[in-house]
Amino acid sequence: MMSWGDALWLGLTARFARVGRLRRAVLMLAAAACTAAAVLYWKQQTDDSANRPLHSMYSGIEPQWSWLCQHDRCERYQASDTTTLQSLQTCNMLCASTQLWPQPTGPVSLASAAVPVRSDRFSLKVIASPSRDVTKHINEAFIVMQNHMRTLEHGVVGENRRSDIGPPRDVLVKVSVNGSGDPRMRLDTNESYKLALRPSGNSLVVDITAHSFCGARHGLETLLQVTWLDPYAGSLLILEAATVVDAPRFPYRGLLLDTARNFFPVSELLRTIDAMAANKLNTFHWHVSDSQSFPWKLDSAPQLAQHGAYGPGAVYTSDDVRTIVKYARIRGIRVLMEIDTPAHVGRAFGWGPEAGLGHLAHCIEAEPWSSYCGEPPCGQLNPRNPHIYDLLEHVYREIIQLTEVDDIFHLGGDEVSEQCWAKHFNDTDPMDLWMEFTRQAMHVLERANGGKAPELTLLWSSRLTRSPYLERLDPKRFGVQVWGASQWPESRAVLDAGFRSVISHVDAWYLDCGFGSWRDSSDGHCGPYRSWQQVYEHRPWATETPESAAWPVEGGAACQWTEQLGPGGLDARVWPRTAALAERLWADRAEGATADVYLRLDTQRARLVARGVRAAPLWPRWCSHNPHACL
Amino acid sequence: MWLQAICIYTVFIIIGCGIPTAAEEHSLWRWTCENNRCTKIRNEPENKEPVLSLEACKMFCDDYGLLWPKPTIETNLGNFLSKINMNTIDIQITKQGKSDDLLTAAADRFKTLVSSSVPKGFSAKAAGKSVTVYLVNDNPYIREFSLDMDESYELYISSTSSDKVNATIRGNSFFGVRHGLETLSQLIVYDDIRNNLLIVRDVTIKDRPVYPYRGILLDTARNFYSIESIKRTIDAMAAVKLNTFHWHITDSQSFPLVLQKRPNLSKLGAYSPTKVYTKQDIREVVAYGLERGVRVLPEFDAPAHVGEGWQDTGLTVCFKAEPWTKFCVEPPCGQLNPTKEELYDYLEDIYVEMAEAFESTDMFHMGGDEVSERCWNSSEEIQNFMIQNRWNLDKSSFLKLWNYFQKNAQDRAYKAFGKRLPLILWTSTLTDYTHVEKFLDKDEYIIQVWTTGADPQIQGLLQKGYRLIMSNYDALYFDCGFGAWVGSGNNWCSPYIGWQKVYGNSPAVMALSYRDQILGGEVALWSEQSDPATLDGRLWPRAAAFAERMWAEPSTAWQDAEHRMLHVRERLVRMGIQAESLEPEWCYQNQGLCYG
Repeated sequence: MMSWGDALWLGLTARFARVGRLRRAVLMLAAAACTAAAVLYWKQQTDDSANRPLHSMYSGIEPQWSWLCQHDRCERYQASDTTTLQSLQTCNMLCASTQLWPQPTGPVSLASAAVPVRSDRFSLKVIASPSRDVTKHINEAFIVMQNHMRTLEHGVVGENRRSDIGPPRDVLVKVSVNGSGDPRMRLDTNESYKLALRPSGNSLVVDITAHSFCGARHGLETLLQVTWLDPYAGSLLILEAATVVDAPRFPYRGLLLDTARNFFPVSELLRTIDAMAANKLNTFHWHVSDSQSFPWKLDSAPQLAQHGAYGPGAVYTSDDVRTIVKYARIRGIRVLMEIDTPAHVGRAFGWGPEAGLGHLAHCIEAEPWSSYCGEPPCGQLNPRNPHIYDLLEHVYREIIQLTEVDDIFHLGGDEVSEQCWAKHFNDTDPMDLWMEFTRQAMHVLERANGGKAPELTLLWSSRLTRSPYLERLDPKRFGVQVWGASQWPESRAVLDAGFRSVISHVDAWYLDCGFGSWRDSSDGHCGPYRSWQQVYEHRPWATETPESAAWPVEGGAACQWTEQLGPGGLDARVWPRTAALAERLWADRAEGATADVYLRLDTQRARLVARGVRAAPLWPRWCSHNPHACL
Repeated sequence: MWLQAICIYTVFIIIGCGIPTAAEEHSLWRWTCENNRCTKIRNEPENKEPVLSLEACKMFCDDYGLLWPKPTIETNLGNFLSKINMNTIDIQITKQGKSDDLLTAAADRFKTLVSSSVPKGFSAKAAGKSVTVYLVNDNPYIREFSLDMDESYELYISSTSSDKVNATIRGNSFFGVRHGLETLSQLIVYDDIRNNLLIVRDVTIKDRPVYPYRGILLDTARNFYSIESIKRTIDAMAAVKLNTFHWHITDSQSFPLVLQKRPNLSKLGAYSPTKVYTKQDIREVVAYGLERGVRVLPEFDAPAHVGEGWQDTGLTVCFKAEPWTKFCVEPPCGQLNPTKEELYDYLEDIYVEMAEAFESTDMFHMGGDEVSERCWNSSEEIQNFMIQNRWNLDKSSFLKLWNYFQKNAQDRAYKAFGKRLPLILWTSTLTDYTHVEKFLDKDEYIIQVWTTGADPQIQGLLQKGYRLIMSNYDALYFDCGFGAWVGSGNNWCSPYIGWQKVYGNSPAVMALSYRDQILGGEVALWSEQSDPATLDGRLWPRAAAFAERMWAEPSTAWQDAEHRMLHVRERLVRMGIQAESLEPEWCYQNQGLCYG
């Protein structure tokens, strides 16, 4: 076997051809790729016998199949017909597709050879860090990565690895962060990173450089993706060499989970956040309360949960919130808690009269509900009760304290019923009441945030964000989360008017659609089901209109409303579709769901399953084994 | 109203006597039965009315309490709830016979169910009356499944003294008595205000199913399912009195069934050496099913829907043929070559080992789904065979060829199972009512209908005397409604089928005057887009809606069943089934307010 230096010299031409062919799509993204490729070490697999029977993890059962990379795809052969025994996983990782998810946006070069590693042979060295806080976070994120590798290793039966794949290499991970000393995910966080993995003597060295903790963390996530379990070798393998230059297209990449229509235990939330991290999503939009229930027990206003939670087993304490925030922080994710007001409130606000505070809300559970709200039960805050603003200030202060997110805030503002307020206030236009409520809510938000308005305060798109009311909102303070259908004129008008927006178009990114109605036997209000391909191919900013080029799109979020979802179904409903969204928002490739996307997403789905996420399968497993046949 | 007030008051007397506990004082909410629905109201300190938990309220606020599926002959739940001690439940088996081991297992399951009625994070006080359950099985020697087995039972509960509750379950077979135990377990509820287990005290229930065949099909070939996930499914089936687990074990995509005589089929055909079902695995499932009154019915789908595993046999045609759209309905294509004599020896070996593994089955499903004449026509060998037989190469000749296959396969199946057991086939061109009697004898074959409920084939087949199992895809295919996995858009049978439609899918309405020929129905979960990660949510709780339709064939619509349906979903979740949520929990707590 040739040494690295020999291989570099002797195989130069072949190497270039290989690099060009293997990672063509990625290389086209940047001319710098050639330079990147030039410094990359390369090795051809010349000696087939070296790949011959590694140990089988199926004690005593010889693997039947071998996958070989031919014409840029893995073809399945009967093991007895080939000289090389290679698992599907390893073939995929070494064949044409990068197998990375989301696809990096800068130049990528990946070796087509792998070496064995073990989770406990990885070590971390923080080369540069702007603060102790960042250093601490890097250390924790590294442990998270190592734990995921350990989980993969649990798939290996016994310790009886065959020796002919060689001993596991040591891997030294060197992380340098030059930039922000704040480890939080912020609107101005530079999430870019560079990863360079190369052999050094008998070990491997990984250089991850970034401008923030979050960027470095993404680098670790990519490192984890070039590490996999080979079931035939019974060992973790890692690419022998790799360089990745990467940065997201959009700064806001979110998933909304509604924990009010049905309650989800903390463990479900944590698993969801971990799956988000695997896809480099960065915003967990926690729609914590709604008319149906208010599960969060605030320290400053415990009455809300006392009156609003489904029961004692369906409550989030402040400690729970801290746990979730910390868990997310290490994974580069902000927790954006939304207490939706002035509508979408319920019994949680029904205790005003008995506390001597008057009616905090009106229309609570009013009948017939269809006159006063979009779904049962109804409820809307009383905008004329000054106590409500004191209460909101407490709520906002506690959100900011617990989540430590102070540059971005979500005020809600979804689906206000004019009829409800008109019933109680006949002296004014309900729209004026709404505008005034929003102004006052913004005022107490500033007070709760130390006298300063957050840089971006989000409202759901609504009648308030339509002309002539839109003109009365300040685009420097407010942003809009656009949930209307992408073809609705008002969905575009918000963007044309220059409001910073988070896209959640119901016709593409609502994950709850397509399960029939929960109140009758019709097909439901927003069917059909949005397939992962539809999620993936939605690119509303890439329309032909000249205005769309200037749209201030911050990013997008998939929305998982939970009228028809409980903890049991969460993973399969959200994954892998939200992974499809993650790549849309990270890479925003112009192509749709091409064959390569199917293959990479199939691999990503397997990664999620290995992480304990019960993601739905894309297709029969047969298609994974014979990838070209189902495309 | 006056009667209702009495009822609530008496409930209160039994469960509320003694000093109110701290929990009771702190409970912010209570429920009261008004106009046949439970209303959530504030539990004011000055309240003098009984403080009922949600489940206690629901038990008496509906003629059928919290029972699912609802009993068909007589249901009288009385007015009383008694506090019971979970640790003092004693089960007596009064008559001895060869099904005793099954009754003992059912009794153990009953105890597990009672303890799982306490939600996670709560515990029940070990105080209250003791419970003795008498199981009277009038035919303790029966332990075999059959289409005419007697699943009826009667259940009586009474309180004989101040510290004792007696329950008696009487049935004509183990299967009936077992159902009675399921019903009994549904009459025990948890009171989360006082942390007590309560039982309904004065009960008379007489019950039997409307249809003898009530099944779920699981396809373990498109994606693999662990034995554990299959057992979990059977557990949930038993809870709603379904009785047939139809195991679509092989297909073109994989062959996970391990056969001693033909080991290559799974060796080449399984997704991996660990993704297989051995004879021992299957027997384990069969035994598990028997204890739960669930027959495990094997299907060997042929002559189409084969492929992986058969590579080295030379017995298939058009395997992995491209473009697949020409030769089959989804990749990969593959069909058995009926002209090969050796094929039938192969089939016999498969059938023999299936008969050994699925030891308790009284029927056999031979598949017969989606045969492509183009596929057969692509083989010169088959063409020659047909020409030798002086057949044309037209539609009717390919039906003759198919019939030739079926007749040979049928003989081998009878030989393998050692009896002329009922055979089942999917609806197809072979079973078309205009000519079906030329090929299939109505006394030998049962037809499983998978086309729509409005298909004229249903009446056509019934008029010719065929017995049917209904799996009309427009209501009972639970894989519908997701994105397409080949091509774009959503899958072929979209949209998703809501539980309301499942509940309303009445075979009696389709059968009209031929109702006696409907053996029952079956939900199908084809697994192109499903695996253990999605299994529970796809099946449950929708399969429970189906179970009540099959057991009771109610004349009422889903609206009348809604709050019981929401409760059976909660029960399944407590049993460890990851059932989907149908509505916000608010609707469960505020009955009748989530109307359309």
